[in-house]
Amino acid sequence: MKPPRTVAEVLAAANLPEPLAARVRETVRRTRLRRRERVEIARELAAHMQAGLDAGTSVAEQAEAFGDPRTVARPLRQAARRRRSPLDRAAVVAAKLAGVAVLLYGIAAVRIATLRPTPDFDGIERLRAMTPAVPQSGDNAGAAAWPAYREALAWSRRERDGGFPITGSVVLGDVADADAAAFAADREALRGRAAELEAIRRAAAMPVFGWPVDVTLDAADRAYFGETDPTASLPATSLVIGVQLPYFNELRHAARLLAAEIRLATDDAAPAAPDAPGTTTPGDRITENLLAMLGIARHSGEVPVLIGQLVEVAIIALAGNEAVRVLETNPSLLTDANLDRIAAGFAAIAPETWVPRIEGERLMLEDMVQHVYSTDADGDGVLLPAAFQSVATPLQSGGDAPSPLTARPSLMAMLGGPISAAVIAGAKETLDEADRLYALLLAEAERPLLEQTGAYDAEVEQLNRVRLPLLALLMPAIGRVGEQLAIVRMNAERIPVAVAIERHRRQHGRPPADLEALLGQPGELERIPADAWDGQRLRYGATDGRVRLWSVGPDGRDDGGRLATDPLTGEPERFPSRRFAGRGDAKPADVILLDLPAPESAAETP
Amino acid sequence: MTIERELMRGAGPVAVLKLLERGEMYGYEISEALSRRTDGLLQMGQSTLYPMLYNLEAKGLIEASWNEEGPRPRKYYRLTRDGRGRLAEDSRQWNLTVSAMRSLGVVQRGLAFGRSVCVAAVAAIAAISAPAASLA
Repeated sequence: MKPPRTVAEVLAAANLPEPLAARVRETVRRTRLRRRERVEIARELAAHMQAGLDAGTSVAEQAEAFGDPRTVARPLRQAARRRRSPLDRAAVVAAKLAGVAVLLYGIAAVRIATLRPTPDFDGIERLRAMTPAVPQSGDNAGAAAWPAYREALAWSRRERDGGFPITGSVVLGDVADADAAAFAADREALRGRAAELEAIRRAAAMPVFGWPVDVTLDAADRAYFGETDPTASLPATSLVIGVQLPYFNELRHAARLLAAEIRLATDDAAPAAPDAPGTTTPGDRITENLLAMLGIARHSGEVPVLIGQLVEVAIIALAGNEAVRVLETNPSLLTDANLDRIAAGFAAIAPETWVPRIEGERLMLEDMVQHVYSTDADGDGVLLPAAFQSVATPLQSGGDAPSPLTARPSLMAMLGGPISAAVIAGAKETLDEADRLYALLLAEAERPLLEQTGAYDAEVEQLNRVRLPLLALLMPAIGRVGEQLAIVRMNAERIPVAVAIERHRRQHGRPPADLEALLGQPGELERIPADAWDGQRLRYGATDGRVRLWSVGPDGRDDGGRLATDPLTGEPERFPSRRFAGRGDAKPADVILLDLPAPESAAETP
Repeated sequence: MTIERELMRGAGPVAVLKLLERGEMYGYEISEALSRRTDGLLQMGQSTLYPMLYNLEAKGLIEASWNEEGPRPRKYYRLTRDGRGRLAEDSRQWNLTVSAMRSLGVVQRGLAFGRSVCVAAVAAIAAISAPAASLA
């Protein structure tokens, strides 16, 4: 006979009188044991009662002897449980513990879901405090350069919407080779714009740029930038990262206009006529435009964020390239006074221009942390997924998101809260790790390029993206900054050297034999700049019938200032890039910073 | 007359082990034998008997299996090796106790049942433990 599988089957098979069946049913139900155990007990109790009935006991007597099911169920339950195997009992304990764990997890999830970031400082106010203020009194009271730029550039912005032709440059690029078509287009674009260019130069001479640091634009700027506002997709929350800085393109463009003006001045040049009163000589135009470009560069870097610094040095590089082009091809356009002003302008670039401007990045990060982390009593906190999402989404893919301060987690995000709190680094760890990386970046930037180990890039590459999501978002962008700064620094520092060489040529009829000859005299060179790559003095000498100033370049080897050949095009290349380095053959890869014709007589060759 | 719950807790299991010493029995049979052979003193209801059997089973002193043959399937219990060992030990303890009680005069010589419940319990166990011949 097949054993029954349910209590009902047991009672049906036993065919007990209902009062007894009811007692069995009620008893096993109250044991709350597993079905198999209940069936087993029901069978045994039923068999007992049957045997009693068979022996002649009455139903009433049986029921009376059995007692109250509630009283019977309890010892049965305890004893039946004791009968379970140790493994079975362990499983029950584990299930109970798991239940407790799930409960605790749920409590933690709800707790985290109810947490909101509580920012304790105004990051934007702090950024304003780090930015030079528009003077409130004195001669320049209320004078900010930006409105002047805005007015001066209005025409070009309108024309640019239809594709303004003036093109850009690179950090250490060869502006001298700007092609003829672009040059003709520049001339056309600038025709009749002398007043606007002068307005740009006046703006560039003002001490303070005075950009209103905020997450929204004022009416005049909204009208100016219109639909093309490049920062329009950033989150409209009061985060430092949401601060609108749409002017970089405008300043870069202003600098390019002045660079084009320099090229036109060079092209238009009649031989220098320094004594024609009341007219602006080409040399003066060149000088004014170069100095104005340096002023624009300074304005670009006024709000202390790294992107501003990069625009700043890009404009310095453009100015340096233009200055070298004139000094190499048309030095006679420049008077001694022009030369001295140009040299002084480049020499006056502040040393901190070349140090990566980390403080703005640090502020941006700290501000993000206070907006996406909770704050606990120890000043630490856990990442709040909803807040993080509302900050990261616009950064990664554009589009709108709710403020991180009010963002509510989805159910999935809520369930993931405790896991992310456990897996993702806390606020303190995030900031500590960022500070360690910043320090690494700054330490790297102090060394010559060839002595840099790439430690920062390597560490950022290996960043645990899950554990440190904010750093994974922000840190990679700043990796190359040190190299850019070092190369532009060399680009700019060569200008006083080039000017001193030209002054020497004018005085002695030929370039100096060595750079040491330029040192030590008042108004002349103060020091010989360092090679960005190996940290030694820049090299100078006669090569291939030319007089050159050069850097050893990315391969670190001094090839005597010989021109490199681009391995892809076969063209001569003054500024060989990284792809030149590390190739097995002995092709030269020096970076030619200044390339002058040798004196007529071989005897005068330095 | 029945005996107190606490005493039953101590006396019941050894009584059951003793019953099973002679062979396997099913639940109703055990309860009947206990009742009959102790004159109702160790009579126990299902709420006492089955938890006790399950506990003995959990300790490995007895084991059980269903006999599905016949019109009434029954679950038979039998002594294990451990059960035999425990029975021997418990019997020795009970004998010592009875002797001690007897020398104190708590258990009356030649008489199975006395005044107090304690005496009754000791006598009941003695009734199961002692050879049937000496019960008279």
